[in-house]
Amino acid sequence: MAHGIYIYTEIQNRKSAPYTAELISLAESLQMDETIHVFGLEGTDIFYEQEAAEIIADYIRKEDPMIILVPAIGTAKAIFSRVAAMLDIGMTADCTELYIENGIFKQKKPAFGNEVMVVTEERDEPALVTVVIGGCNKSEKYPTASVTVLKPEISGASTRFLGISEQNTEEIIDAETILAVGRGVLDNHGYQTAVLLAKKIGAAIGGTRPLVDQGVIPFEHQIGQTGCVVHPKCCIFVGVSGAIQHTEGVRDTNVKIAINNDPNAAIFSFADYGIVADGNEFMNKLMEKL
Amino acid sequence: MGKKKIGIIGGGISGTALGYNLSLYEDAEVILFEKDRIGCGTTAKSAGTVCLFDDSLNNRYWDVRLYGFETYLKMEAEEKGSAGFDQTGTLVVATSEKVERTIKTGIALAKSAGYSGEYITDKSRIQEILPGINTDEILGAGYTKDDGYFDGTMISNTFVKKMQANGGIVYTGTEVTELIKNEDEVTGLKVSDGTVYEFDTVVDCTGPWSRFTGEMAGIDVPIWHTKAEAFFLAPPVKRENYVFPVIKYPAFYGLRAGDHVFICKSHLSMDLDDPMHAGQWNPDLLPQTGGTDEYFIEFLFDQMDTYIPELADSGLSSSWLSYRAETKDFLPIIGETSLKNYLLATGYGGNGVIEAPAVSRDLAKYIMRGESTMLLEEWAFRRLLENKGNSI
Amino acid sequence: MKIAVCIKQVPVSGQVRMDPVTHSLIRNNTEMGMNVADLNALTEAIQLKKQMGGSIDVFTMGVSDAKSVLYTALAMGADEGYLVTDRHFAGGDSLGTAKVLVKALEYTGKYDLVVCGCIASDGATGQVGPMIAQRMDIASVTEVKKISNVESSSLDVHKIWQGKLVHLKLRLPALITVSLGCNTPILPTLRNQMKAKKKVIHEITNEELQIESDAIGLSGAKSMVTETLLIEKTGKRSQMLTGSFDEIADQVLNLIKEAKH
Repeated sequence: MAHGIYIYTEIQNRKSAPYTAELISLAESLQMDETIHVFGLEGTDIFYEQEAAEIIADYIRKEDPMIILVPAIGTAKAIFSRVAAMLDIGMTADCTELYIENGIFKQKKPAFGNEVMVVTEERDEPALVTVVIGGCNKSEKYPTASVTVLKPEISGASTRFLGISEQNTEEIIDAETILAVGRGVLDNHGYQTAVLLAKKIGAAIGGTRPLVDQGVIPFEHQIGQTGCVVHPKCCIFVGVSGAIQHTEGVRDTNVKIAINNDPNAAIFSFADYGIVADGNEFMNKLMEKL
Repeated sequence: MGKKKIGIIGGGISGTALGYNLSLYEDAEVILFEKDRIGCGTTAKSAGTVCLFDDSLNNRYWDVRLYGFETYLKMEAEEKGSAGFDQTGTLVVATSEKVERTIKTGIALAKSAGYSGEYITDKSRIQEILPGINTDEILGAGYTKDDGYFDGTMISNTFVKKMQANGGIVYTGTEVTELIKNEDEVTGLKVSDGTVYEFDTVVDCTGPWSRFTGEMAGIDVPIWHTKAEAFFLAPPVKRENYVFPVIKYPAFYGLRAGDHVFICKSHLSMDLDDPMHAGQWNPDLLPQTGGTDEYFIEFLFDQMDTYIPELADSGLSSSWLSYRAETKDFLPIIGETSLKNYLLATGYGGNGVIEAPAVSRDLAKYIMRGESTMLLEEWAFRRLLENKGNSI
Repeated sequence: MKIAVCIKQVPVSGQVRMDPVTHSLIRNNTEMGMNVADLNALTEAIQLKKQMGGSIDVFTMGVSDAKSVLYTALAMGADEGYLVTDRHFAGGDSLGTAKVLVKALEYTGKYDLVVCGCIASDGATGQVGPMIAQRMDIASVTEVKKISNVESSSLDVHKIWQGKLVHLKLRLPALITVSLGCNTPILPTLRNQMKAKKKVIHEITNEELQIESDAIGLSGAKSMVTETLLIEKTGKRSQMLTGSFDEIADQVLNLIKEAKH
């Protein structure tokens, strides 16, 4: 009989990742009479996808969990896709809410762009789900001591880690202020203006999918359902329509200010403050003042 | 004496040009209804070429062409960018003696209006103007540096601004849902939010939507949709300080679109009897991009391969489909219908941007003063009714 | 180097609409095209072929309409296109899709490298790539940004991780998923499109693959959607800032400043 809620984490510099506490909170909020276990990989082992998946699959076979919660981050998604394929189980991606209904474990996740949320459940055990992190409060309990660290067998692996180097993209995940730009700023050098403005107000640039698709901003800076979820104190939206794919990622921002030239834009039912104006003109105005 | 109330349905190039021209009359009270945004329909997909000479409109109507061109030049001079003018010049290529004669006539007409124009037979000069061209298949080419292309959406919005400055009213996002009739005359219309407006005259300027608008009036508007399939090509060679001109061949035309080249099958080469070319469709279902047929890519490839082989080696970056509203003689339907006080300014086909200024000038005068012009006589609905028995 | 690339046909705009009554996707008038990350993947593969020689086979699973992305792939520079299509394949989840694609890849031959896009713009799970690798029992590296040091039996890959660039060596055979926007996709020329159209797209059905039908497609799907909820359209309305442009700009700068404290 399957039992226990198992949480996957990645350990760097002897510390488990910050999202661990969040996943524990989520597991606790299910209020099941089940033990919560934390297991994970350490250091560069996470890049050995094949070998990591093998040892995790072994661990799961042995432990027989009821539920496995995995953060919806690139490295973890890759490894657990392989685990799912190995164990022949499903993997429900990018959930934003977990709950129990009539004894059945269910997940909510957005689907089909901005139209709907779907509720999913799994046919088999364990129920393997990836959770969009950054969406809920951290647990007070932070059981660093009880992480089961799995060591994949990497000698003779097809993958070999050669090193890590800095690359030039500012992280937006920790930014206090984010200037989020949408398709509406693509014209008339709007993006360049946005970059200058962001520098002046000390904000990181975030953007919506169309800008990523067009190569204007790097993928790491996409906010939303398929990008990252962030918790800035302030987010300024310029030329963002307000589609849920984007707004999901910045839901928990303290102050949301939207500038859009369409008074009926959906963003105005999401933001705290709204300004009907041409995004580029308004950014130029702000630049004048700084 | 009270003001004359005129309602215009449609905020594309036709409706906005007419709205502006009507707003110049102090005794006109004009309201324009656009169901979406100004200049967003097929006007937005117009190439906007208004050239001094080419075969898009018969030289018989050269004054119409010139009036359109100069209207936009003045608009651009008043406020830069308001007509979106890109003065790239135009190269009109002669593939036959007949085309050559038309070009030469056009050049003479352009010169008489004070513009430059020349007929070039020196193949190396033609290649300078359009590198990558195959000159083996051509006799020569007409060239002027004075014209280029405009932006139909920009022009429509400028007309609206000018119309509003004259007291005209424009409602966007407002669809006309019903025509109010009293026996055999129109007295007003009803819009999507239920409001009813009274008018002395209502003008249908809905272009490709005119069949549907006509249904409300009980009028069979004889327009066909022809497919305007535009392809955006990324040329294989980038040339410094080179300006890609508007190019005109009998079966296609092209112009620059940023770093890309816009290519489209010319409207006069469309055959209303060919179901690949023409039919009755619903313009509301037109996607913003895509929707093109393989047929046209093949056709254009053959044309490029024959005439401008370099463009056949361009990347196909995107495409779109638009509908032109054409009548069987490819000229618009302007003026009165069988329904009293219900007028048409539709069916411009591929020539709305060229023809709308002159037509609107004359139609506004007709509406306000009852005075017709030669142009209105020739482009009246009547001409299409006389032959109604004939098959199209 | 023998390369296989797996691609997907998706709605171009990314704005998928849903019928509020039937809860099915509205595909009318939606321009369909190749998933953007797959364009990056294919471009990366074509560059590899240019360096190393060899061939590129492209696979897509879908209905016959999906052939158009295979023609695009051929016009970009792929050698053969395979449409993997069967009613038993329809309605599957990522694992079901991966199982079918693996069988198709094994059916057509042995590959040194399998390349996928890192994520599809419609499904957006990013699972199929690594699942394929697992079922083929080969190594995988996901979200590859750059490839270097290409040799016949190995290559180096670079991936972004926490804002840094991770450098890995990968012995072949292996699978990589290519990150969205890592290169400028090759734009097929009109001439190459015409040539591609004359090529034959190979169809692979379950007749050839002989997969137990309860392991794949709808019946093999492991998780089910039990409910579809329309997103609540909250009645909330922003507080609209008014005044002159200058005044509004001051208000906004104040709001930003206050928020930081």
